[in-house]
Amino acid sequence: MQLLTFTLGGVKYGIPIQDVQSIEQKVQVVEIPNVLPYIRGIMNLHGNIIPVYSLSTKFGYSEQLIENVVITNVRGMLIGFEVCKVQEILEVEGGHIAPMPELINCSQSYMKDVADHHKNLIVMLDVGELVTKEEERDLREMLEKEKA
Amino acid sequence: MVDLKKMQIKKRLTTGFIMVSVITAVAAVIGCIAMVVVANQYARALDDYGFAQGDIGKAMVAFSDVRSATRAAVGYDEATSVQEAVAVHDQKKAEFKEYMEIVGGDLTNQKEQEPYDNVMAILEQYWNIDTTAISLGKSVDIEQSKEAQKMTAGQLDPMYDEIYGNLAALMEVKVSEGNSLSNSLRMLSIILIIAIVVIILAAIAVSTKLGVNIAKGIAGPMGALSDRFKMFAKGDLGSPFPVIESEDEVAEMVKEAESMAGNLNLIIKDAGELLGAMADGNYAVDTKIEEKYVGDFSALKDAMYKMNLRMNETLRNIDDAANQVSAGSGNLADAAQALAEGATDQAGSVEELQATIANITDGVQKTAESVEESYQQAQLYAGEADRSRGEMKAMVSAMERINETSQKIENIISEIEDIASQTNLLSLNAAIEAARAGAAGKGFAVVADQIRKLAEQSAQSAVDTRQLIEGSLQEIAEGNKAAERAAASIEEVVQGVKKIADSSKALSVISGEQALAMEQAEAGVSQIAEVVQNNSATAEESSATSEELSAQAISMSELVGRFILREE
Repeated sequence: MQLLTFTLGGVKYGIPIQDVQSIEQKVQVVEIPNVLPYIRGIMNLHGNIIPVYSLSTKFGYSEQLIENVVITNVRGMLIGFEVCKVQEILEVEGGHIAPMPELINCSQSYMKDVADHHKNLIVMLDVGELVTKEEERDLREMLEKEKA
Repeated sequence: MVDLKKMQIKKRLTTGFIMVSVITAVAAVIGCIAMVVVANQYARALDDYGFAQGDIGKAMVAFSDVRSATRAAVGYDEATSVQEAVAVHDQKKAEFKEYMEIVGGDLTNQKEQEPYDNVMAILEQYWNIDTTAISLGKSVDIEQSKEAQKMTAGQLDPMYDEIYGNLAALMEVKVSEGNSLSNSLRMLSIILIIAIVVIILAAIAVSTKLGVNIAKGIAGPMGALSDRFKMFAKGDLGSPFPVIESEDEVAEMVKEAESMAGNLNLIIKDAGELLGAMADGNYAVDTKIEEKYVGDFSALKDAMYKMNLRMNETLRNIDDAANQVSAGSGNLADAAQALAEGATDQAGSVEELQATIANITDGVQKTAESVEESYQQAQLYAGEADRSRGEMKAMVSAMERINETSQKIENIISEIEDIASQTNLLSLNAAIEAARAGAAGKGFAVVADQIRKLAEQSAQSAVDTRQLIEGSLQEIAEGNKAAERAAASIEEVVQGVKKIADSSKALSVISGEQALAMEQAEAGVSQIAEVVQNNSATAEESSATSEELSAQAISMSELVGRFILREE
């Protein structure tokens, strides 16, 4: 399968390419108050207003230098994830994908698998799990409010 | 009697006034005593005769009333009238007795006592009969009344007449005695007035005499002393002072004036002698009566003493000075001689000096020429150094331009990097699109990958270029620093050369001045030569003058020797 890889806090993460809509340069983000802490705000994507989600806040990293935003499609809603820098698109064979050790999997349901690419480990993110129902509702409310 | 002349004036005056006061006081006391005696006599006369006569009269009236009341009591038949008469009788009887007692108290001699005693002797018997008659007459019985009337007419009336006669006689005695006493008192008053007048006249006479005596005792010696003082003021110090017999303040004054005149005489004589001696040139004299110069006279003595000392000192100084001048002028003559010889030697030395100075002047002129040459050289080098500094500046500005260009290149590289990054992103997005397109996008995916690789390569090239440019910028910076250092060095060289040129210039000027100064020095030495000639002549002259001075000093010393001075 094909993985779009990017770095965040020195760790290499991967998202299955079919979940990715596009990659954008870091653009101006309008910060919205009174929302969950890892929802950074909103941005303008070719005329569409979409929410921006801070992975570094979600993962508990300190302030990172953000260069790219990865636009994903979560259950029909476009969400921009802030990442340090998008790296490349990799082709990973099914044999090189292993499940995450149970100790981690239990607490972090969006980190199910880990890919091995030429001895480099890539943490695979499940964006559907990453954005919880509650967060999704919150985001929708925010967008509604913004539209109104 | 006290001797007033032996007293001090104060005591004398006090004693005189006390004596006058005593005389006056005695006269006043005598007058007072006389007045008291006369007043007492008058008071007694009034008591013993005036009032006594009144009392006797009152007693006679009361006694007459008693007889009337007795007659009424005996004569009346009616009981009430009788009782009233008896009451009046008793009252009057009591009054009469009272008056009689007063009259008895005022009796003064046997002549008065006799009729009074007669009255008292008869009165006892009269009262007895009177009482009996009243007790009988009180009754309304006609017999008894008649009896009583008989008793009154027969016995009481003769007794009454006798008593009344005696009282009248007593009155007569009192009147005659009172008149005689009045006469004697009038006489006494006249005598006393005469006596007091005599005493007052005597006191005035004594006081006047005393005052005149005291005034004479004071004024006499004072007048004599005043006359003597007038002469004293005219300069008569020697005449004797008046002899005063008294022992008062005037006598003391005369004594003091005598002693004052004596002292003054001594002081004037002494001062005259001292000043005379000094006028004759004798300054070794001293006063023989230093103890007499007291108070303000000590200033006179001090002034004379000071004058003497000053003159002594001055003359001695003149003597010393004359001696010194004498000795000094001898030395001066020797020195002048030596000076004249020295001046001749000096003239020789000055000629040598003139020759030397001419040599030095030549040397200085040559130095000035050399210095001028070196100044020209320095000017040339300074121009050269200035040119290299300009070239160095041009090089530095060229390097700065290179630097600017490099900065621009760096900006372009940044842009290239940015484009490469965007191209990379585009290739990734293209790959994503290709992946979405599935099998149809496979060919496109390959193209996208190729684009990505190209983007990566151009990014790498940009990074390499940037490194090269940065290296060259660093080199330029170092080159700049080196150029700046070189420029600074050249600047220093320029400054140094300029300083040398300036110094040479200054030196050239100084050399010129030196040459001028040497010429002046030559002229100066010529003048010195002339002066030395003059000196020689002057020294000869001063030698002659000092010998003359020596002779003058000796004659002055002789003049001072005529004065007699104190031993030092």
